[in-house]
Amino acid sequence: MDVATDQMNTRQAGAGKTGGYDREAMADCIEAVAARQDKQAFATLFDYFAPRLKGYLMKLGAGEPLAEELAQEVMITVWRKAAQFDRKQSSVSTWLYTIARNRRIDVLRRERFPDYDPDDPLLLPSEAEQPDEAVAAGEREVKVRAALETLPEEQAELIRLAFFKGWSHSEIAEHQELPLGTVKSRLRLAFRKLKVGLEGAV
Amino acid sequence: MTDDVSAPDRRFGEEILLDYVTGTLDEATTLMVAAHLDLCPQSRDMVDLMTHVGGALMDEADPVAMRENAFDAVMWLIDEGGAPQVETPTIDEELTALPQAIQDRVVACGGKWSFVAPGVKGMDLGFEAPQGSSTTKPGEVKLYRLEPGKGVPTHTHKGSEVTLVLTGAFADGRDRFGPGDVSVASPEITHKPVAEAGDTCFALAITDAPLQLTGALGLVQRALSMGGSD
Repeated sequence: MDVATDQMNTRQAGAGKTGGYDREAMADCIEAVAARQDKQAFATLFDYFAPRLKGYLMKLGAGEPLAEELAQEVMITVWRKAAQFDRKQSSVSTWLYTIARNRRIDVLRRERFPDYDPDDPLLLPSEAEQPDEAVAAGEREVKVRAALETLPEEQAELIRLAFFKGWSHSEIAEHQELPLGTVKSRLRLAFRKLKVGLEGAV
Repeated sequence: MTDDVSAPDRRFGEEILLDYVTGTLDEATTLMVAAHLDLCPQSRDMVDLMTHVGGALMDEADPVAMRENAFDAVMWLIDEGGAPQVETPTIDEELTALPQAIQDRVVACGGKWSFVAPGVKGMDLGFEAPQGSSTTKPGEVKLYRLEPGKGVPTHTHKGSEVTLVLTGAFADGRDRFGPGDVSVASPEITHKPVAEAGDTCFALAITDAPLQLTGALGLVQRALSMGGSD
C-alpha cells in the first residue's frame, strides 16, 4: 500500500473540507508520482480530478469529446511534470488549473496554427520565486476560498463569468448589459477584497 | 520605493492580468505578460491570487464522469511516451539573463538578429499579428537589443507600440523605463528611445498593439477609478 494514498484514505474525512478533499494528501500523491512513478497515487489523483477537469472544461464550452480528451491530456501532463510541482508555490488544484488552461489554449491554437508546437514551454506555470513565502500555498488556497465566499454576489458573479466563460471585461459588460466601468470596478473591488482576505489573516 | 519596483503606471493592471490567468489573451500579449511577471513581484502576487481563484472555481465545477476506459487509456499513453524528455536548447549566453518565456520563444522561433541602427539590433519573434482591430495592419513582435547610449532613430507608428524593458533601461525623451516597466507610445507620439549608460538594454516591443494591451496599464485604471494604492 502506498503511503500517500494510505494517508489519503485515512485522512479523507479530516482537514481541508472546503475543497471537498484533503489537499495535503493530494499534494503527497503528486510527490509520490514524481518520486517513484506511483501509479496508485496517480489513480487517486485521476479519480478525483479528471471528472472535475472535464466538468470545468464543459462549463467553459467544450463539447464532451474535447473535454474528455483535454482532461486526459491534463492528467498525462500531471504525470510527466509531477517533478515540477512545488507544494510551497502552488496548491494541487491551482497547479491543475494552470495546466488545464494551457492545454485549452494549445488546442485553440492548434486549430488556428497547425504548426504550433504544443510542447512550447512558454505557458508552463512560472517557476519564479514567490516573494512572500509566509503563507504556504495550501493555506493560501483555503484563505482564497473562504474570502471568495464572502464576496457580494454582484462581484462573485463577474468572477465566475471571467473564469467559467473565459470572458474579458468588455465581453462581460456586453453580455451582462453593464457599463464597462462598473465591471472594472466590481472586479477590482473583488480582487482587492480577496487580497485582503489572503494577507489580512497572516 | 526602490528602483527595481515598477510604479503602478508602469505595470499591467488587474484587467489584463485576469485575462492572462483565464487564458483569453492573444499569444504575443501572453508572452509580454509572462515576461513582465518574471520582473514584477506585485503583478506576480496578483496573478498568484487570481490563479488560486481559478483553482478554487475549477474544484467547484460539477464533476462529469470520465469514459469507462479513460484511466487505462491515459496509462497506456504515458507508457508509450516513455521517460520525459529533457530538452537542452542552446541559446546565446547573453540571452540567458532574460525571462524564461522570452528565451523559450527565441529558441522556438529560431529568431535571427537584424540591423536596426548603429548599436541596435532587432529580432522578429515570428508571431501572427496580435488580434487588434481588423483595420490595423499586422503588428510586429520584436526583441530589441540596445547597447548603452545607443538608440532607435526617431519614429512614429500607425498604431500604438507597447514596450517592456527586460534588462537595462531606456529613456525616450518623456520618461525613463527600467526592468519590468511597460511603456505605451500612442500613434501620435514621436519618440526616440535611447539606452542608458551601463547595462545592455533588452526590450520586447509589440507594434500596432491590440487595444486590450494598450489600455491595460495601471495608469489608465487609476485614472478611471478612485482606487487607493496597494
